[in-house]
Amino acid sequence: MDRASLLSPGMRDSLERSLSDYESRTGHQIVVHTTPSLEGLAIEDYSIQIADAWKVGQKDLDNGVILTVAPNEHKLRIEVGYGLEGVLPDAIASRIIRDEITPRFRSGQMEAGIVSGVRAIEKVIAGEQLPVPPRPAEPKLDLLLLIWIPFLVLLVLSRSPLLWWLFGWGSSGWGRGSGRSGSGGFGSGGFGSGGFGSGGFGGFSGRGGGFGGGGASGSW
Amino acid sequence: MKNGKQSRACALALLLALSACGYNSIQSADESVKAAWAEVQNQYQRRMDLIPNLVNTVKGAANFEKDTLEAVIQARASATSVKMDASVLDDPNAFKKLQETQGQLQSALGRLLVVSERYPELTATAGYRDLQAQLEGTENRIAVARKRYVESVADYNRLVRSFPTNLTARYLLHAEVRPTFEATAGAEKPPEVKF
Repeated sequence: MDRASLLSPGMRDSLERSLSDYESRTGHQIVVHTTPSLEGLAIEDYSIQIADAWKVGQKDLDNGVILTVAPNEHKLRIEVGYGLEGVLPDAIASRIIRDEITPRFRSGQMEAGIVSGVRAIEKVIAGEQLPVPPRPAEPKLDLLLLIWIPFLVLLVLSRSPLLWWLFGWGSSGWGRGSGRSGSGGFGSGGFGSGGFGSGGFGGFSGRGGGFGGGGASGSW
Repeated sequence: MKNGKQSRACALALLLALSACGYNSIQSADESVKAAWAEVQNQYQRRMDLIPNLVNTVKGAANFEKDTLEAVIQARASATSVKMDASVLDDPNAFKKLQETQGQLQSALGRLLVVSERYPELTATAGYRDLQAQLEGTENRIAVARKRYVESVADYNRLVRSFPTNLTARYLLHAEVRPTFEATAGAEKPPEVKF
C-alpha cells in the first residue's frame, strides 16, 4: 500500500504481482506500506497497529512481514510475525535495513531501496518451509450453521411452556453472555481497521497472522 | 402447585441466566489475561537472557566501565530473584516490585548502551550491532506484550466491576480486579542511544 507514492505505478504493479506470486509459492505474506505521515507515533507503534489491524500472514502460522516506510520522517521498520521470528530475527532484519535499504535511501533511490529490501527479506524467509495456504473453508461453516439452527429451533419448540417461560427470562442472560473473544489491538488511540482499510494493494487481504513486536527499525 | 413450580422454575432460570451470563465470560477473560501475562513474562525473561552476552561483549572492549557493568549485573540479579508468574497478578505488592525491578534493569541497560557508544571499536563490530538490534527488538516486544496485557486486563476488570457480572465475580468466583501497568517515569521510551 503506497500512500506516500514512493513507487511509480509500473513498479507498484510489478511489486504487487511478485509479492502475491511469492505468497502463493511459499505461503508467507510480505506487505509493503509507505505513508506520508506517522501521525505523531513512533514507527514501532505505527507498525504494530498496522500489523494488528491487517493481520498479515496466515492465522496459525503467523508468517507475515510488513515493511513500513515513512519518507517524511525518514524512518522505516521491518515488522516480523511470530512465525518468522526464528528465520528472520531482529539482528538480520536490522542488517537488511542497514546494508540494503538505508544506503539506497540515503542516495535518494527509494524504489531501489524498497525492492532490494523486499528481495532480501524474501531470500531470508524462503528458508522457512511452511505449508502453502489452504483454500478458505467458508462453505463448511455455512453447512454447519444450516444443520444446527433448525435443530436448536426444533429443540426449543418441542419443549413444554416451561421452556418458553425460561426462554422469556433467559434471553437477556444469553444475550450478555455471548463470547467476547479477546478484541484488543483495535480502536486504541483512534485507530481501527477503518483508519487503514484493507485492499488498496491489489486484492490483498490479511489471513489472521499475529505479530509480537519483533523486527527492526532504521532511519536515514 | 402449579404457581409454586412455575415461580421456582423461573427463579432457577433467573439464577442460571445470571450465572451463565457472567461465569463463562469472566472465565474466558481470565484466561486471556493469564495468556497475555505469560507473554509479558516471556519477554521480560528474554531481555534478562540477552544481558550476559551483552555484558561480556562490552567487557571485552570497555573494561574501564566497571561501574556501569556492575550496575547491570546487579539489576539483573535482583530482577531474576523477583517472582514473575501469574500469581503476581493476585498480589499487588508483588506486581509493584516486579515493575520496579524491571524498570531498574531497563535504566541500567540504557546507561550501559549509552556508555558503550564511547567505544567506537566496540560499536562498529557486527557482534555488538546484532546484540543492540536484539535488545531493541526485545524492548519493543516487551512494550507490545505489556500493551496487550493492559487491554486484556481492561476487559477482565470491566466484567468484574460492572453489574450484573460483578455479582458472579464476587460471589461465585471470588475474582478480583487485576493490576495494570502504571507508566513509570521514562519507561515509555526504550533505552535510547544518544551521542
